Amino acid sequence: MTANLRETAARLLAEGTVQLVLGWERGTLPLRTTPLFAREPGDAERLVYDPTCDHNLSGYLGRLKEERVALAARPCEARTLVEQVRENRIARDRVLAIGLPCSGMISRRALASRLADRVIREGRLAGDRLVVVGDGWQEEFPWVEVRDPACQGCRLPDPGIYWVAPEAPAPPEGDRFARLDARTALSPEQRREEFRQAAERCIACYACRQACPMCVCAECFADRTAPALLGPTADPSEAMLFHLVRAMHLAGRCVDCGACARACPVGVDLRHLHLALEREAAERFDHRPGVDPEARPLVGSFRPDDREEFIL
Amino acid sequence: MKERPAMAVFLTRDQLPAVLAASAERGPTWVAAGRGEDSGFIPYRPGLCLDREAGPTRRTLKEVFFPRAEVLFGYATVDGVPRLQPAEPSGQPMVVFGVRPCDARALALLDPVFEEPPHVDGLWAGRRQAATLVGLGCDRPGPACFCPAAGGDPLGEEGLDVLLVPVDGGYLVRPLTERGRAWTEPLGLPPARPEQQAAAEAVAARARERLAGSPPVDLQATLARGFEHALWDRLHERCLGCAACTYLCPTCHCFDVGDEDGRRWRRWDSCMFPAFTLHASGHNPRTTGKERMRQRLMHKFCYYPERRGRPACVGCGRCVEICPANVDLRSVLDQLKGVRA
Amino acid sequence: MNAASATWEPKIVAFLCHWCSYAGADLAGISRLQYPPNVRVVRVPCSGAVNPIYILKALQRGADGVLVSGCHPGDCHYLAGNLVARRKFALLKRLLEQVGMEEQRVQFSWVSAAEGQKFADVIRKVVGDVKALGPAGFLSKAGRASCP
Repeated sequence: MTANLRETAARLLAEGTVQLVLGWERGTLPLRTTPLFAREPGDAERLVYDPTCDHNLSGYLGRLKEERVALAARPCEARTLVEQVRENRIARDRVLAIGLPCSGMISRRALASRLADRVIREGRLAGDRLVVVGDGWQEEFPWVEVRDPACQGCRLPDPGIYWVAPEAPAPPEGDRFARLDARTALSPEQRREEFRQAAERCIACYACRQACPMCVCAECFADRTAPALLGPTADPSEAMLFHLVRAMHLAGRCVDCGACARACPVGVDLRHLHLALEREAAERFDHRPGVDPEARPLVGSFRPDDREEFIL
Repeated sequence: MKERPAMAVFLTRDQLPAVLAASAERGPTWVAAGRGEDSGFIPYRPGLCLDREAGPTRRTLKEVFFPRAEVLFGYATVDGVPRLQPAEPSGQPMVVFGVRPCDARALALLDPVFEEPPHVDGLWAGRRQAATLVGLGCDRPGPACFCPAAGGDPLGEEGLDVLLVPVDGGYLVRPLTERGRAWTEPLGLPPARPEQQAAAEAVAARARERLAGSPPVDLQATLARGFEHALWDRLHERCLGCAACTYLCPTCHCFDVGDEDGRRWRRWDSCMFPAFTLHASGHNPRTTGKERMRQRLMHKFCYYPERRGRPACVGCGRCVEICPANVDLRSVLDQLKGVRA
Repeated sequence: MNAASATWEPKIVAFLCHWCSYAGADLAGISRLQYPPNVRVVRVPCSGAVNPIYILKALQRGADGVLVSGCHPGDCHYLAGNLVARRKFALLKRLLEQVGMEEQRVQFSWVSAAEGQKFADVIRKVVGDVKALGPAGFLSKAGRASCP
């Protein structure tokens, strides 16, 4: 796959069809990749594609100066692109989405937990096997065992946004909302405790917001000073408000790419909030983000017969 | 490294919980605890996981001395007269255990920032004066560590009162200051045996070997010439503009102030945020990520060295480890090295 | 805010739309209808103008419960503000459920300018519900100075 991607990228750049190809290259730490902004055909040689290419590249599209760009597009990028086109954040014909088949991404968090936080000195993928080496130990196992749980039940629609459709995408497996169903057993007290703990961990670095390709406000409510919507304290309630309002702002727009959870340096993962709203939007309003570039916005539109059983 | 073979004593691994428990009874005792992204300095309690993995904790020591948000003073109008009530540090002696040499060095770099007369920050100075820093040498540096490049050492002593070197079965304990001796002596530990001393030397050698080859980060002159270099246009491209690198940096110390309910707070702020430099007029002198990333690097590797003679970086590698886009400070500095104005 | 105290009374912040619910509250007053005095009213132009952060901020800074009330569907002065609000509120409810917030802490109603009696009933219900739940300790700011 990497070979195809390199070839396509080099050709597009050489022909001048695009001025930039957005992809990933090997990172500087084991099992990490980093975004690559390829501008010369020669840069294409550095492109890689494997289950460590987990950073959603679509977030960069909004700030590019180039007239036309090619985007290495997993389903996460494609769904994001649909939303960005839908919201007129980028012109559809500016982006050539090179569809990539995807069977999920390695979760660094899942891997760390499997390895009991032992430090990885070296990691590599050999086919579907993952080899990790540490200080005096080595383990090898199928990488899907540490696949990001959010990749389960991935929606792989062809929203008609691809320039080249991905070859034979793996069929979506599992139920995408299974993660939520697993939470139904939690009591309200447990949920409050879980959320409080997440809020206490949060250091307000806003890596989640910055990594999110759909967090696009020119000025985030959290940064406003007049009026200041969040207080100057480190009280956990400030983080609670931030994450709740962020979830509201992403309702009907979050494509569940997981960039927020991956970006968090202190292990806060609140994707279930976004997923709960996604399910509510699907079940109550028949709205599915990342599918239809012509769709009406979820909040900001309505149907006269939207259910209102909860209103007194 | 100064040799102090005569003073080194030995603490077995089994004795450690009792030592910390006793310390916690005497006064506030912070310990480096937790695993991976959930590690940092927290008040000691029995049952904490104290086995340090490679490298530093995810959250830094600076949080103990410069918390994420704290009250500077309270204010109120009493009978028509405005009154201020400055916040005071408790002054109660405290112990911080498990400090990596990089983190201790970071405090030493921050001291002049907060304590240089005439502007002495009472909260910082008060906590610093009250603290005994018990270090834990880095026997296994992490994959992102580069302390020798920043002038440090995995078993460095700067800023520490005591250094523990982890060896088989326990720790070689080296008191480094008066305060360190005051912490060590009551423990009544036996002198370290020669083979334990040797083991500690071997740990140091191994750690240094692992870190060999980290290129130095002395870039002051280069950066001073290269402010307008075209490289900056590309360097920041992948940067997402979050504050993870600055908030988890042990030497980043910028803050903002804000009021709420009759209290003035200071809380961390980051040069990576646009609002950091936003003027009341609406003008922002640092308009894009390029200017913001440049500021972060210039501050650490040019402006700070100009004032204090060495870079404001200790090579702990946290920013490398946590960057969501894997923008690696080491390779950024490497690229900047080639800059000719 | 003393949960154990038998005299504890909940504070309710009510965001009322200027055109219907606020007038409904007025009618309740003019008609001398009795309802619990726990409610602090904030008049807003439209229920559609109620940003979820207003609700959350109220809970953070001392409210034990929040009511948002607007015009009945079809009656919105701005034609569809309340219909947009309806979607937002449905989502907010689901979100708060995920973090374990009690359902009755945040409530919504349609009250027209002619429904003074309904306004009084709604307030009675919300106050009763929140009273049964106790103080909002969860989102509220720990150790905050008391709000005037």
